[in-house]
Amino acid sequence: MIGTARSLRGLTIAFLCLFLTVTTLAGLGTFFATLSMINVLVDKRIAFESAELAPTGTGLSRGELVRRIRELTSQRDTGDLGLLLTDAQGRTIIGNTRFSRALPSGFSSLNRQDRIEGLSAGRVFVRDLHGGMRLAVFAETEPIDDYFSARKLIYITGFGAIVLVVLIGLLLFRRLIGQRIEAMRTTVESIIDGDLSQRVPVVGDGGEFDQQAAAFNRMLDRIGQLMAEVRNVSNDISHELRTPLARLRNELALLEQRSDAEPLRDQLALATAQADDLLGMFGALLRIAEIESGARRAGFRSLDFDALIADIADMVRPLAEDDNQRLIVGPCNAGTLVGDRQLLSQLLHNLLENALRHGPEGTTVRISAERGDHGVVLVVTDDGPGISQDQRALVLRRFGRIERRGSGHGLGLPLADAIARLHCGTLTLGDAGPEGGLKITVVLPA
Amino acid sequence: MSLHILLVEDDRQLQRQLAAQLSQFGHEVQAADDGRKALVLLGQHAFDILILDWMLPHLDGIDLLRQLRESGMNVPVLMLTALGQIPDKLEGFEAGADDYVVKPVDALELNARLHALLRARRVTEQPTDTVSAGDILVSPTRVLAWRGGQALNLSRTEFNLLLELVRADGQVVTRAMLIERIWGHDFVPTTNIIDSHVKHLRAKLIQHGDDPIGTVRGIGYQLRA
Repeated sequence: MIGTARSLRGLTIAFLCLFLTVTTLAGLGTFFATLSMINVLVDKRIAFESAELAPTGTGLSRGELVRRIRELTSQRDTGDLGLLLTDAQGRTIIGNTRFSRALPSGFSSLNRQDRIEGLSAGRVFVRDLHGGMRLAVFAETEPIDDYFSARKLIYITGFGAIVLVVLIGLLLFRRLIGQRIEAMRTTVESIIDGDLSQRVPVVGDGGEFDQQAAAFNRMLDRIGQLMAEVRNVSNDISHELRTPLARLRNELALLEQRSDAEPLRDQLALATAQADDLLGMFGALLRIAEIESGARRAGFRSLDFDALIADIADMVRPLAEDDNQRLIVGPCNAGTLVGDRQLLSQLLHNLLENALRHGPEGTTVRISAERGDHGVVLVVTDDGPGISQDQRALVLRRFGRIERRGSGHGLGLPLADAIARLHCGTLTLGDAGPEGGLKITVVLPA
Repeated sequence: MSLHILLVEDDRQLQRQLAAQLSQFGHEVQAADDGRKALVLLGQHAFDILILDWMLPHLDGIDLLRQLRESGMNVPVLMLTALGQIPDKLEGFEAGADDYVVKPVDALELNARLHALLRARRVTEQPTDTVSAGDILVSPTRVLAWRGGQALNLSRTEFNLLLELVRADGQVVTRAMLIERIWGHDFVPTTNIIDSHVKHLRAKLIQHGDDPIGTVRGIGYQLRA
């Protein structure tokens, strides 16, 4: 029970079971307690009446007893009271009732099967008097017909109504809590997807849930503020550094064009190229920032992913041919998906270009796409050196290059990763096979 | 071709550098550092082209452009934008911009685009089935190309590359322009993908004569007249 009570559903079921058990026990308890209470009261009454008629130890004569019984039945309303005085042979001396069977001494219960003349079910008190005479005093425990079944009905409807009200209340309560939690979960999921503008709805009743939602929203405001500050700082750095760098680059380009710069022209061209490289890095950083802001989701369109793969493969193929590498486009059955054409092109380009650039001469790079259970699965494999397990996280980090030589900013894979995430997808690195080689799997929800 | 250019840019240093660089290409450049001054100059002179920064004090570049188009001024406009403003870019095209250059601006890139822009305006006035440069003939409608009367066996990309070079009429076509026009991408690959495609095209062209493609280092290509 404790194990299942950890969830809202489990708690509801546990509470309900407990409630039903207690209610049923209470109902049955009350029912039988009332029943025995009536018996006790009736027993008291018949014992009292019996003692009134024939006080213990007085040994009243048969005539006196008959007189007292007659007097009692004539003076008082004894409609529910049965009296019977019998002699030693069991014959009736006087009485207003008959019993269908012989009764033992003391208290006993009689029901309808006992067919008491003129009366229904009840209790009887039998006393042995002197001379073999027996006095039986009977009183009904059911003041009206079908009292027992009526009482059963009262109990069932009464307790049933309580059970029903509690049940409905519980379900409503559970639904209310469920809805509020669901609203919060939806918000959290939107935020995970990069939409930091989402907030938990506040109903406005000022209750605990509203307070909780308001606190949660304040936390989101704060996180959003911090994120914006961090993003602004990195954007500002990129922008602010880009502007003077561009000026420097333009100044170098101007110098390069001057007629008296001839002896330094090569060095100036090299310096310009280096400045271009730096500008390219800032460009890529700003591009990642733009992607991570999620703003480009607004421009998502349905597109033919297979055709896009073919286009980009054609675009990068000469790179492979120049280095005696092979680029094989495998089966592409992805169909259409919704996304940003420019960014998905860049993702495909970056993955292929990365595989070709890092692979030695003779490398084979394969690209294929299929439609899986979770969307489109794009796989790019190569038979190059691969990336060891412990370095995989590094290459997905900005500037996380493994080798310091060679071209590239170390922003190609982080950019591809950011593009996959913008599309609510994932990018994972793995081994292409036992002989090594890198396998990059991108899953994009279709 | 000397052009009369109005450069609207509020960054004084960038304005000075760009004006100097464009002058080096033989253009006559007048500069304004905000939208209002630009409007005054546009009223006083006839410009061949307007280079317009997006973000300007007093009157935004995009608002200035809208005003121009609404008043029926058809001067070609090339806009300068900051990076990462793709939605704005579409807004700019709708407002009537002819082309874009993302800052920081490279003078050679800018110059190549200015020429391409004016050329595009002229071309639309006189459509023809084939375009030619020297002994190279290209038919965009039939997707065929010839050199010295002999058919060239080109891939689709090589054909598009040649078509862009021929259309440029001896002017420089930059890598970014080629990426944009051939593949429709807004990113410039870090590696020499374009160089590689040009190398393949060049190999096919020199089977029928001298190498007609000149490389403008770090910028792009042009057909030698």
